[in-house]
Amino acid sequence: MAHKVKLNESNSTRVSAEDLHRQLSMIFQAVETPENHADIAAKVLVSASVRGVDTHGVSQVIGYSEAIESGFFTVPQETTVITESETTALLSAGNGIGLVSAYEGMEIAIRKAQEYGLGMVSIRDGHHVGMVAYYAMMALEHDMIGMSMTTATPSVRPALGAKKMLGTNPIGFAAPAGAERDFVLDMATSTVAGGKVGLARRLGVNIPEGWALTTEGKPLTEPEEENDRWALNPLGNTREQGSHKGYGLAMMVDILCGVLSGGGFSRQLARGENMTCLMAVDIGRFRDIDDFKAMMDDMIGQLHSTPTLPGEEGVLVAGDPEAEATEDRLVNGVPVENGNYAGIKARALEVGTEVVI
Amino acid sequence: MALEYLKLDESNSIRISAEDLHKQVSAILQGVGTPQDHAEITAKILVSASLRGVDTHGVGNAVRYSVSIEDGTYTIPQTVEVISETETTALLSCGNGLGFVAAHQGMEMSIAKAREFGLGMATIRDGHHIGMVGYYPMMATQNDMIGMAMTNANQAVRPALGARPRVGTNPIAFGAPSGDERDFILDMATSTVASGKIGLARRLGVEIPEGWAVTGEGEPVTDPPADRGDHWSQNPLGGSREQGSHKGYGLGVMVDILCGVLSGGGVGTQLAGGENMSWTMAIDIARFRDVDDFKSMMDDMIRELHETPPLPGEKAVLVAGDPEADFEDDRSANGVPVENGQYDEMRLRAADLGVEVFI
Repeated sequence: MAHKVKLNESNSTRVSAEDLHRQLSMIFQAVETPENHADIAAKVLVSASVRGVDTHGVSQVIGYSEAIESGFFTVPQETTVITESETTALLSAGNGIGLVSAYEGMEIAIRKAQEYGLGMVSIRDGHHVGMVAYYAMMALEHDMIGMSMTTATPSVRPALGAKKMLGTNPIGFAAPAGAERDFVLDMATSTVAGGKVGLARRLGVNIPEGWALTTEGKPLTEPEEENDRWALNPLGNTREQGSHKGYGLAMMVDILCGVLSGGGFSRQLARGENMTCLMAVDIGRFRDIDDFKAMMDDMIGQLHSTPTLPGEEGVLVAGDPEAEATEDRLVNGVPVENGNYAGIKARALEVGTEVVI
Repeated sequence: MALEYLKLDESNSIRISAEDLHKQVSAILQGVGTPQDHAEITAKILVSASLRGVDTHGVGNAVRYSVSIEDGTYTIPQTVEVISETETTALLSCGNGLGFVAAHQGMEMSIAKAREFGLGMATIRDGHHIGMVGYYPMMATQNDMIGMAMTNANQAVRPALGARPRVGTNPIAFGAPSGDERDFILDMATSTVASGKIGLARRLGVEIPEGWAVTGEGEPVTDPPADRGDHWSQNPLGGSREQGSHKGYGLGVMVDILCGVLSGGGVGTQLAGGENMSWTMAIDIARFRDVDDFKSMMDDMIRELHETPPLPGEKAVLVAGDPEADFEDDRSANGVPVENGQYDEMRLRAADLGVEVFI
């Protein structure tokens, strides 16, 4: 099944995070991305790969660099502040690399939270921001809570509806712990992220019932290419099991990212367009940060000690699988799927830069 | 599904005007020593829930709140204390009083701060039940703001992969104003269903569908037990590993962090039954863009969603807040149906307390 597909020695090559960062930055720079922006984009993509979120990882450099070359992304880009107040900013990403504008946006949100306690930034005219939790996590080192959301073109049906109308519209949320690992939630508001269905399609395996429906309302288990004859289910899947909740959360993301920014909701976006919303909350404004972290530790410890369902090994907390992948991959290198590994090297040569992986 | 048939109708309920219900609820609360202003706030929120068809969080609860006040579980009269405050943030203590009063004040402060600085956030400790959590964001939408509210509760929901209750049903509410269309008002437990639906099924003796709850061994529960405890728990939204139970669970913990950890009041595993910590937030839309432009884009989005072709057998695609707005249209005009048992209970309680019977 799709969610059991793991990278291993037979299907991937281990490369150090440092080399991957250099390689990605060089490819971005070779297509005229300024060095500081290339480094930001490389950092976000390598972080996803290090955390095991391979669908949003280093291989994306191929598509992004092509989008830059074709002019679909405007590079060099300028992130413009359209309006700004003490705690808020509306930015235009200037049609550039989404990773760069979201990174800059979160820096602004954090700065405002440092000064006034809260900061929120909504970003229009943007593209793919990669692993959405990255930006929420930027708040952690400032002892802040971070939130991040982003929209996309439709692939998910509304509850009771038979046609795709909403993006998978993921939500990221991060809060710092003390001795335990930080809490880092990163979830599509659909039953599964679009990437998981794409992976199953590439590997020729079926997906479970509940992930997608045809427009006639029949379960789709053999994933097709993107077309209008099927849609992903919102989290909750059916009326009885709460599909209106996943659908409602997806609309919330559309409102905060697309309507608040004016960049447009899912249905108004062209493919590859993504609007984004970021928020930072300064914990010290509410209570002592060490007390906060100690209570986080207590909560996480209690959740970890929950007896499991039969057949399960342990109860996890959001961010655990990614932290485990990080521990392994920082020491032993990041496994890059053989096809992606060859693709990145070929792309480096194509844009006329050195191969360092 | 059995619960679909559980509607209030002429055979099992009596229609009362919202005004009379407000007077009755306020009189009962004042009858046990609640100051008038606090009784009015609580009555307003309870009647709003009943008007909007959220009967599990409506006027019928006035009786049990008045009992909690009388037996000292709630401290009345209460003092809502501001423990710490900055430009955009506030930490409040509810003073163990009525949760409604502190949550209402938290949202009022959030709105005032958002008006001055763009954003406002309050987190509230030492609290009790705040009723229909969707009420508080609606306070923001009336001020051309986006509102959010959350509240936690003692453990009833299992973590993904876990077999014991550890997280509350921890609902999330979010409201955003529209123009010609109805406002977007999301109000959702982070479990597959709110616990009130399971309680209702139990009272009425009907089964619940598989997917809502499991035993400590992971078997589906369809005949919900009368007691809470370690032997069964509700499922987080998503239901199973394969269908995304880690997402409902993750959202439940997010609510615990914002309500319980940020306030210091405690999380699901630490709360007694009836203790609830809360969180409110307001966002001033005009700081980002023209409010009329915002509302007209909301209208466009909502219209497109309403026009989505429905699945076979479904009538139409709804938007969050639609069912409640339909109820409100009907009940504002024709009165609020109050379940016969609750109607008798409220009248009896009013008579016991020696306050006027308005209904």
